[in-house]
Amino acid sequence: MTGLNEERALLAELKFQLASIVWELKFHRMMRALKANFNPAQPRDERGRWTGGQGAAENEGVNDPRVISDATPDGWVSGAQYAGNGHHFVPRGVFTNDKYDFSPETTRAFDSETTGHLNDPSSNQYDGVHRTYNKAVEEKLDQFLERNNITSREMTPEQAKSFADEIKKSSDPRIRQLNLRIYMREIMRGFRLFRGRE
Amino acid sequence: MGTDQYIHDQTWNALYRAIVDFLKPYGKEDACGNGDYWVVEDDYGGRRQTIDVFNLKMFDVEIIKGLRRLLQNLPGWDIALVLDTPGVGETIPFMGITIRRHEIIDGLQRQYLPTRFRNFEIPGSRPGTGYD
Repeated sequence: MTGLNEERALLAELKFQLASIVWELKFHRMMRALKANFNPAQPRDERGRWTGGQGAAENEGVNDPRVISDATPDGWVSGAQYAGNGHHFVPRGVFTNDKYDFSPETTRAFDSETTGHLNDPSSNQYDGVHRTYNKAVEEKLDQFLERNNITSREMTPEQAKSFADEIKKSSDPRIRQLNLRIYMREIMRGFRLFRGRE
Repeated sequence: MGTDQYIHDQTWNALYRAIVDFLKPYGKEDACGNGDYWVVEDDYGGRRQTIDVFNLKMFDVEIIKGLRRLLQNLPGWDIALVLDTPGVGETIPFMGITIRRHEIIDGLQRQYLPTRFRNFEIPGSRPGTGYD
């Protein structure tokens, strides 16, 4: 019950913060529009820049060296620069267990299924216990192998990703509670940063 | 990835490996609680390593001193030994020990521990909580 109450409290706090942010955004948008004498009927290009009249950015072309390029560089992979440790949805401690024999490719697929870098360590250092989460993921992994009638050695990287997706969306309270807590902390940190800038 | 993040990742990984190697002789590592402890592989972004403790024998002065030695060149980093036994977070509060280069914070609430651990003392530590 403690976990459920904690989730409810977090959700209520999140709901409140979201509602207040929405109002703040609307207010700031309105103030900005009034201050800038914004006219939605003014002619604009596809990027939203003025195309005529006073103040139009006539000399700012796509190759303007004063503007940081937003072109996609060659070889860039979306999200790859942010690939980091963060939280492993399928803990290494589970998929490297001696009872499994995953191929190196499948192991790499599991290992890459993380939240990416996180920036908000828990305020209470002692509240992030993992035993229950790990045990639940291990149970789900056994069920996944059985359901698909495969051995761990036969599991493909695609199946590993599909399993990780199941864990991300899992409604099992043992799994959801930890994942939700991590997401909430990141969201709340985002709120705090947003508020700090105002 | 920025330089700061790169340095953080390198330090985090080096410390993680050092802890895993250091603890090997002291017990069995198992992620699901079927051993004595588990060195958490998740990096939540702080200068912190966490060890989930399933067996109270891991709250040992020699282990704590050894872990502290690993932080000798890492000011600002800490290692948390966190109790993770059945009932923690329900009938037993979250608790543990925080080890830093310059201090040890003893957040173990003895009244919840078995009798033989109630007089357990960590020389040079100060009482505190997970929020310190």
